[in-house]
Amino acid sequence: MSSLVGRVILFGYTWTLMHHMLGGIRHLMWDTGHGFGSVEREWLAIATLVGSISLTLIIWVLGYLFAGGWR
Amino acid sequence: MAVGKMSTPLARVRGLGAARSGTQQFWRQRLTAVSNVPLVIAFVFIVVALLGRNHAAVVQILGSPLVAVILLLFILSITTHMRIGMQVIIEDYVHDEGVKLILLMGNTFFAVAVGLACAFALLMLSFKV
Repeated sequence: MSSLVGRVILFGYTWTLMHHMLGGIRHLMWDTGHGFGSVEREWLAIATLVGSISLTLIIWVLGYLFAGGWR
Repeated sequence: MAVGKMSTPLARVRGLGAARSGTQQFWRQRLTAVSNVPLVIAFVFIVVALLGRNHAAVVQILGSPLVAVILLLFILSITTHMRIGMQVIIEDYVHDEGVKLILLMGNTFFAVAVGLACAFALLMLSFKV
């Protein structure tokens, strides 16, 4: 965490992890047969992207504000 | 299961498929997908909790029983999910049987090596505190 390059890689990894998780939850939902409509599919695609970016930013803000990311 | 000329087409495909193991991997990928969700959330919380701490504190946190068990479950679940996910991609996109066989073996070796290395590192921290 002391190098900028390391932080950028970790930030990117946080995003891919969150995006993969939300995409996976979407697939689990599809496994149950829900969410196949044209409107739902588009909405889910956007929600996955917005959700993964939001979660990544929240994790990093929490890390810096409350968990000593500056130290 | 007998898969000869006398068997019906249904009997021939039942329990087989590209991976020659039927739906077991399909089910295991869903199982680990579900178990990954709480484990990834716990993993992220643990990593964030480690930020800014010195080496001794990190060793103490990672070596504590609850955290270590959660992370061991995480390693098992993630590497299993990783192995099957990559295996499906190889089975779908590599059409040369020989290359496919080598890549599938290499993929399994890689996943097992990563999983054991992670587990070993964690257990070292747990038992050397």
